Amino acid sequence: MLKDITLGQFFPGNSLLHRLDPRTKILCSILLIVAVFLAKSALAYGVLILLTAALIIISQIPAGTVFKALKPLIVIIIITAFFNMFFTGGEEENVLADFRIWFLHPVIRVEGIVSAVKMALRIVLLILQTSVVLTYTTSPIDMTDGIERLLSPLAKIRVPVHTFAMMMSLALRFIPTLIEETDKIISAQKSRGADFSSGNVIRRVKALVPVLIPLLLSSFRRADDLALAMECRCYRGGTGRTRMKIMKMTAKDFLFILFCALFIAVRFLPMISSSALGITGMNFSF
Amino acid sequence: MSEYAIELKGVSYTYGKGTPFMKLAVDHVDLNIRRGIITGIIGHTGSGKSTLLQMMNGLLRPQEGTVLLDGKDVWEKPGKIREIAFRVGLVFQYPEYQLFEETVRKDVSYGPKNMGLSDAEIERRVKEALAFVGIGEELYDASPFDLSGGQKRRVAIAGVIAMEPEVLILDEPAAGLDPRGRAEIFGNIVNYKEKTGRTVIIVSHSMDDMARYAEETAVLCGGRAVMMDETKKVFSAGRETLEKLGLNVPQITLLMEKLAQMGLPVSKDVFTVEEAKRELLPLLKGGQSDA
Repeated sequence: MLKDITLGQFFPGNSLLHRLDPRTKILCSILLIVAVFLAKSALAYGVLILLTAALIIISQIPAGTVFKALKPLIVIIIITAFFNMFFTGGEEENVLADFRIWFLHPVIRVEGIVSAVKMALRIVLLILQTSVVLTYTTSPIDMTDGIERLLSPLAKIRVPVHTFAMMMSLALRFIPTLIEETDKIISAQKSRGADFSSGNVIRRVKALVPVLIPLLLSSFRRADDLALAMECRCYRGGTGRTRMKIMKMTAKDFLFILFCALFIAVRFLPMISSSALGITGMNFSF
Repeated sequence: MSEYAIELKGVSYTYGKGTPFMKLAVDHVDLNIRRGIITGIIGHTGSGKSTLLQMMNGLLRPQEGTVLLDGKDVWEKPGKIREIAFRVGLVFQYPEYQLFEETVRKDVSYGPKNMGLSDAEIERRVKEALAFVGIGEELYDASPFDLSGGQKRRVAIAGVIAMEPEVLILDEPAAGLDPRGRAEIFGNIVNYKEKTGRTVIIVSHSMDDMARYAEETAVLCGGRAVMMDETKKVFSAGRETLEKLGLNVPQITLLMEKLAQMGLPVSKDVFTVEEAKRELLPLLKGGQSDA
């Protein structure tokens, strides 16, 4: 059923992360992304893994749900790791495996494996952190409000920030409505014997016509009604508009930003010496 | 042939199981729909009416319990569930929003076509179905989108009738129509039932409509079936009981109650305007002769 699709990934709750200002969360996601990209040493990665685990615990979202965020990207992670494994240069003495397939000559070196693990870990951390800090804990409407406020300086150079934000929140607002409507029309046509799941591609596409036409019609009708309703309430764009919910940054917001900014320092964490791994001449840089 | 057209046995359905949005919509409902009469299902918004209907025609599979159609479990062969939709015709709320074809004729024949009937048979059924809802031949080739609201609704209902289902279920068939439109739709439905002798289920939250058209009535509240009996008996449960279930007594009953309070010798168990007329007219005539 379409009803099972969760929009975005918002997971309602009342944890510290849920209660932070959306602006804080957007900024912190960026800071954490930077931190992940700056991390070089194994120790730095260790620190970030711990941080991510801590964030997941704080968010009070079941770990299984959080890890679901990785599912759509597993293929990308695997491909990235694969290429890093074979195409990272390194010392001849570090060759672990050497294949000869036709004219190809792929070589796996220690550097390649290290780099593959790092890349995979990097992507996993990125996704987990941003989902926990931002997408799982911020409702889509809060998110657009946050983006609007963060970008509001751009309005000075005539970027229609408010219009975009309004369009975004309207679109977000109507996605569940549209899904519900689609569900209803599909059920109705199924009651009249529509068959969406058998036959070849052309038949299946054709079977969708009885769903798409009513859906399109109702979207237009809805857009008309909405425009009229907005005009009746004298909507004239963003100028001079006040808000019902005024976002306020509190001490905990500033503290959280500071906390995230601290992790940029992982850049300077020392590498665990390569001798500890018993390999000489290892190069961790990318 | 079983005495009941549809039997629900301990049927439950929960939406979004295992998510924070989990909602128990139907909770162990037992319900027997008698063959060949109009049964009303009544309950206020969120009482689980729509979910219940979708389980009756195989759109939703009950998570607990069984749905019997003519004594047989509808989910006996899950691969053939589409055929259940043909046997139990479900008309959704605001069905006019599902119209999609270029002409009335084509739209009504969508269902029969999906059943794989011959062209001649489809033509016969389309004509019959449109006659039941009072749409004349002059409109057969009109675009359904050019019709009036009430006409669109009737064409959409014809689209389900044309499948000649054993049981016809209508979810709020008169919602959003003016009094005349309501009367027409219900008139069509009663006429359909009389002529075909098939089973009809009407879902509504209007007690007035139930009192007038339903022979038996089931009351749903919070996903449970709290009452199921002859309409008269359900309504005699008394105003307090009904109001506790979120239902309003028909307006004519309220009027009769007021009259009784004012000392007129009238019965309080009057649920339709017709009955009230029968009660009040003699009184009125008697009153005149007194004066």
